[in-house]
Order: sequence, then structure tokens, then C-alpha cells
Amino acid sequence: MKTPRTGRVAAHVFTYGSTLVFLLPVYILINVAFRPADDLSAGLLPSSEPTLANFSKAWNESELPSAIVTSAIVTTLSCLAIVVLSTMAAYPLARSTARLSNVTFYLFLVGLLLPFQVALLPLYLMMRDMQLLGTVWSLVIFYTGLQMPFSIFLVTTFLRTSVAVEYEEAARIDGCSDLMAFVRVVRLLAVEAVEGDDERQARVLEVVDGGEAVGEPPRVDQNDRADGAAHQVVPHEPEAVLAGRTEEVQDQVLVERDASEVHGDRRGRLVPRVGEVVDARGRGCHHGLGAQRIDLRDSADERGFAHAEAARHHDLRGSGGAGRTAARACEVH
Amino acid sequence: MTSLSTAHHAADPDAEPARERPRRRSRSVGRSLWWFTLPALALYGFVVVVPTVQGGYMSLTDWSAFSLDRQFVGLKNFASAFRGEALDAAVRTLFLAVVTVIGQNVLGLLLAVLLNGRILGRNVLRTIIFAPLVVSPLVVGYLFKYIFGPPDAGALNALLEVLGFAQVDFLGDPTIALWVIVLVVVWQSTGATMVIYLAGLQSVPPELHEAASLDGANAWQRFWNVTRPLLAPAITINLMLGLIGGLKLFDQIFATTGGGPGGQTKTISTLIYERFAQLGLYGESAALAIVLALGVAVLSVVQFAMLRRQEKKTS
Repeated sequence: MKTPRTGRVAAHVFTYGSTLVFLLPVYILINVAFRPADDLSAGLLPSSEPTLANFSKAWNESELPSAIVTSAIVTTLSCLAIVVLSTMAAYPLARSTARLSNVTFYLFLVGLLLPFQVALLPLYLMMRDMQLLGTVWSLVIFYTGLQMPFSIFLVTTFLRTSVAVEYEEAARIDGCSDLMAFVRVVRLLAVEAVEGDDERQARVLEVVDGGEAVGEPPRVDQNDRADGAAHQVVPHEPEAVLAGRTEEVQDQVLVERDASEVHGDRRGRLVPRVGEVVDARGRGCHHGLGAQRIDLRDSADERGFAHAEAARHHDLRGSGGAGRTAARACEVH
Repeated sequence: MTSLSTAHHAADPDAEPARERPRRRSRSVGRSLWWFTLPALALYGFVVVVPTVQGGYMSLTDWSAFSLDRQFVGLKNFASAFRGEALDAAVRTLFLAVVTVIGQNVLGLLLAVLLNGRILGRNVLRTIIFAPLVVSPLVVGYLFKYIFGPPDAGALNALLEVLGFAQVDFLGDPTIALWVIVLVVVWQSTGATMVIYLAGLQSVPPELHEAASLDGANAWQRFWNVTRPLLAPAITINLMLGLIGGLKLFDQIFATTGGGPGGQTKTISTLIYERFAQLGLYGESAALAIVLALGVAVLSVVQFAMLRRQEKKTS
């Protein structure tokens, strides 16, 4: 049976391997960029005398500087126009249930299918007739118009699936006009997209990560062991153990339960007692598991019960991960 | 065109009585903002719709660089679109689209599932795999043209020589050249499919996986029975966009092989470009473009219907 360890190693090997393959062309590109003009080697290895001459040549002998400025202007204006216009258009398309709204939506979607070659020459002639050739505006109009189908598709589906219409219906009941509701939704989206972007992303990742840690096999060991322990030592607190505490936390719980006079003791003496308790529990665990093994053997999990030592080992690792998860979950909430 | 869109919308607000749609809300939110679509419609109409309609009309004429008076010739251009190299190009276009869609989706999904798990430095890996997408397809094409260059010039051939293998003229062999194009496309667009799959994976609640693994499901069963149904919308989007992009493939071919060797890697898109820009056969190229558009439309509608049915069945 494939253990999770070999699975994870394989996953690492595969992802790192394919990332290297993805990087290889870029690596060659960089090598070639720093290669002197008379070096005709293939660029598999970095050039023996790397040079910046290519860069200065590209910068000085082409119109690169002014081209970059033009690109920046065109990109900025087009992006702004695309975001503003597609959000405006997508809102009624996503919300209105009128048939015409659907028709318009599909009219935009048709644009995804059209190969642009049909439109190229007529568009060129139209731009010429409007005296727009050679200006930044022809490009801005071109890119904005061309991007409308996809961005409207994107924003509309996002609004339909991710922003509850009840939000605006409630706003309307409170006397909001559609325009005000729109402004609020946009503000909601903008705040989410701009301000919280990194943070939110990270949070989502954390939660997903944590979820996996919980879902992975080591947790199953821990779970079963908790059952064993429940028979022996902590009959009334299975939840506390299930939640995935670290070893120390469990021990503290045990100490508190086992000997109430421990509280009266000085702190220093707690430590050896903790050891004792853990040890006792380890043995108890062993017995408990021994009794349980027969019913549990048929269940999906075969790993944890080979013998008590192994179970404990697993457990430490598993509960470590789960403990992290719990800590993260706390952070998030 | 502006008047067209206005006419479209003139009847819109409050046009439909509530009783026509008893299950829907009486008057939907946002309907009074119908005019918000006008600027987008105007630009879209100007850049896409009107020129396309004009181009459509031109496909029915013998308009070319040599006969600017545009005689109406009916469907003659369309007939020639289904003869000779155009037919080969159509088959090749279909092949490229299917293979690249499969390649980038299998690889993208695999990477997404793995990079959604506990992989060391996965954010860096995600970024690297997504990075090719931000480079222009033309640049990527030229880069791969260099890598797969002829013997004694290309990077890969240099590597083969170092390793003691015989050198190969990759782009000089039609079959290999076609696969190089597949590789270029997959290399560049796997990141995009991966990101869409990652977004889909994050909406899969971990509790379901937990429950499934408690019930004894192994990793594959959990993927197939829990993740896959919930990923269905992401799969649909990826397959749709992949197919449409694959059928319209142009930049990568233009940059790597230019349709060669011997016209063996031409697709419909490169044919359109060739007839339009190099041969000046405007009418014919417009006819080809319309054939391509209809083909893309039919195939993607069929695909969409199938995927939707699948989505409904599994969810």
C-alpha cells in the first residue's frame, strides 16, 4: 500500500520536475540575452563572458523607450476602460431577469467565437475614415472593444455566483435605488479585490491547507487513539481530544483531571508528573487498543495499530499538524 | 450601430409583466440600469460586430487587392474554402485544438491538485507555472523556434550533440513541427487552466474530503467522487476556452513554423492570414474566417451542451 510519505515525495518530485521544465525555456532566454553577439553557442550554459551590450543596444538603437511609454499609456487607458465599462454592463446583465438582458449577454458571448480576421480590414477602414489611425485612441478603442465579451462574461458570472442578490434586494427594501445598490456592490467588490487581495488570498490558502492537514491519514490515527484513550482516561472529553490538540495540551488536561491536589503543588513538580501520566496513558492506550484491534482491523485504517509505539509516533506528528491547524483556525476566526 | 443597440433596449425597462414569469421576482434588481450596457455595447459594436458584418458581406464578393470594385460572386469563395489545402488545414486545426486542450487540462488539473496540497514553496511554483501566460504568444513562439532550431543552431540540438545523440531538424519535419506547436501552446496555457482549477479546488469544502476519507475512500476515489463533481464548472470553462483558443490558434504557429515546412502546419487561421495579407484575396479570406467562426461556434455549443449535461448528472 502506498504510504502518505511516498505519495508526498512523489508529489514533490512531480511538481518540482514540471516547474523546472516550465523554467527551462526562460533559462535559455536569459542565457541568450546575456550572450555576446559573436558567441553562437546554443545558450544551454551561461556565456563565459556575459555582457549587457544586448540590453544597451536594444535600448538605444530601437524605439524601445518611447514604445514602452506608449504601451504604458495604451495599457492603462484600456484597462481602466475595460474594468469600468464591463462592470457597468455586467451588472444589469447579471441581475435583470428580463429576456432582453439575456439576449444582450449572449450577443456579447458571440464575440468570443468570432475570429478577428473577418473584422480586421473593415475595422481598419473605419478607423481610417474617423482619422484615428496613428493615434493612441485607435488602440485603446480596439483593445477595449475586443476585450468586452470576455470581461463581461467574467464579471457577470462572478456577480451571479458570488454576490448574493439578496444583498441588493435588502438594500432596495431599505429604499436604495438600483444605482445606489450598484455603487455598493462595486464598493464591496473593489474593497475585496483591491484592499484585501493578498491577505484574503492568504487566508483562503491557510484554511484550505489546514483543512487538508485535518483530512489526512495521521488524523485518523489520532482519532482512533482518542477513542482508546476515552475508554481509559478521559471518558467525558472525547471532543477535546478530537479537536486536535497537541500532546502538551492533552497532558495538561489529564493532569488537571487526575489529581486535583496538583493545583496546590508547586509548579516545579508538575513536570515529572506529566511524564508519569503520559507513560501510564501510553500503556493504557496499548491495552485499550489491543482490545480494540479486532474490530478495527477491518476498517479502512490499518496503519495506526501495529503496535503502540508506532501509533504514538504517528500521533505526535499528526497531532502536531492538526494543532497547527487549530491554531490557524483560531487566527482566522 | 448605436441606434441598433438603443432600439434593442428601448423596450427593455418594465417591458415584461410579472405574470409571465411567476417563479421569478416581480421586478428584478438592476433592470432600471439597463443603460449601463450602452457604452460597452457601443464599443463592442464598433470594434467587433459592425466590421464582422461588413467582412461577412465581403466574403460574398471577389474583393481582392486586384479587383477593388467588388463584384458579388455568391458562395464561390466558400466553395473554394472546402477544397485543397484548406481542408487539410481544417483537419489539422481540429487535431491541434483537441490535443492542446487535452494536454493543458490534464497537466493543469494534475498540477492544480498537487499545488493545492501540502507542497513546499507552492506559491512560488504556482507563480512560475503561471508566468509563461504573461509573455506574448509571439515571443514564446520565437523562443521555442530558437530552442527547436535546426541542427548546429538550436539549443535542443546542441544538447543532443553533447549527449551523443543524432541531431534532429525538429521544425523541418512536419509531424515533429506539429508536436512542437502543441508543446508551445501547452507550455504557455497550462498555467491558465491550472489557476482556474485551483480556484475551483478552493471551493471544495475540506469537510467532504474528511468525511470521505473517514469512510475509507482512497485518494483517487476522493478525487473522482468528491472533487470532480464540484470542479465540473471549472472543467467546463477550461475545456470551452481551450477549444475555442485552440481552434483559433495563430500566433504560436506564425512564430514557430510560419505554416511550413511545405505548408504542412498551416491551420485555418494562418490560411486566413496568408490569403488576406500575403495574397490579397480579401473575399476568400473572409469566407474562410466565417467558416472558422461557424465551426468554432458549432463545436463549442455542442461541447457546452455535453458538459452541462454531464455537470447536471454528477452534481
